[in-house]
Amino acid sequence: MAITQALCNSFKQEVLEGGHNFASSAGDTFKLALYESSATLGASTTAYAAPADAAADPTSTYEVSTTGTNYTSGGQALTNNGTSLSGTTAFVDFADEVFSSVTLTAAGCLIYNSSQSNTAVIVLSFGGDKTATNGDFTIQFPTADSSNALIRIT
Amino acid sequence: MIGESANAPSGVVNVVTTDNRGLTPEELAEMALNKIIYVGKDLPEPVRVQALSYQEQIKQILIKYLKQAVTSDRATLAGELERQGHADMANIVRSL
Repeated sequence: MAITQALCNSFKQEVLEGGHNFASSAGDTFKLALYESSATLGASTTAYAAPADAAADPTSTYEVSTTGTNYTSGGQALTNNGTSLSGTTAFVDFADEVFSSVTLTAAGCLIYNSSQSNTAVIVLSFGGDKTATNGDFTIQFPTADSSNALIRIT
Repeated sequence: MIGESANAPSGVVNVVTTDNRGLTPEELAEMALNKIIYVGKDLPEPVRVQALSYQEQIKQILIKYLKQAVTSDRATLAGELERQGHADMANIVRSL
């Protein structure tokens, strides 16, 4: 069980088949779900799977439980800043995401396309457990440029 | 080639957490600023200085309006609490 940061393999193929629309207007909805360190997520992850019981602690998928956390199963919808082209590199950016008034510990997350059968996009590791106690849990995405953006095509 | 920041060691995304409080207007302004304007360290110095000055101006505007947003939201909340007969809670909200 581990969270291995990676762009999902299935996503790479789906992009070539037009399976994901990152346009900021009328594009797909992408969501971010939080996971505990015992979750198994990585390049081979193909889709978000809801746990058998979201209120269980831990849940069957090690997604953060909804019990006592103020976390909603499935996570939150990201604000898509759309796509950009800089030189020969196209890239995608999302607004930083805040889980407000939560008490939870998470070690990573999965961004998935809820408009396309919850297909997985990218697994992100936080580098260890991060905890918020009755506060905000904020994921800050990297600088949106051709060298650092979360997803880039060069 | 599809590249992603995920190829970098974990830590590409930064996680900020708070305990017993939400993010402050200053913290949110800093986050928003990074989405509005990015000043590359390789810019020619005169351009970089000007861009940083502009960035700071934007930051102060963001802080002002974010603080006002918090104040206005609390005013709305306090007003509703008063209307519902909870003057004591309304006063607590106003005092925050």
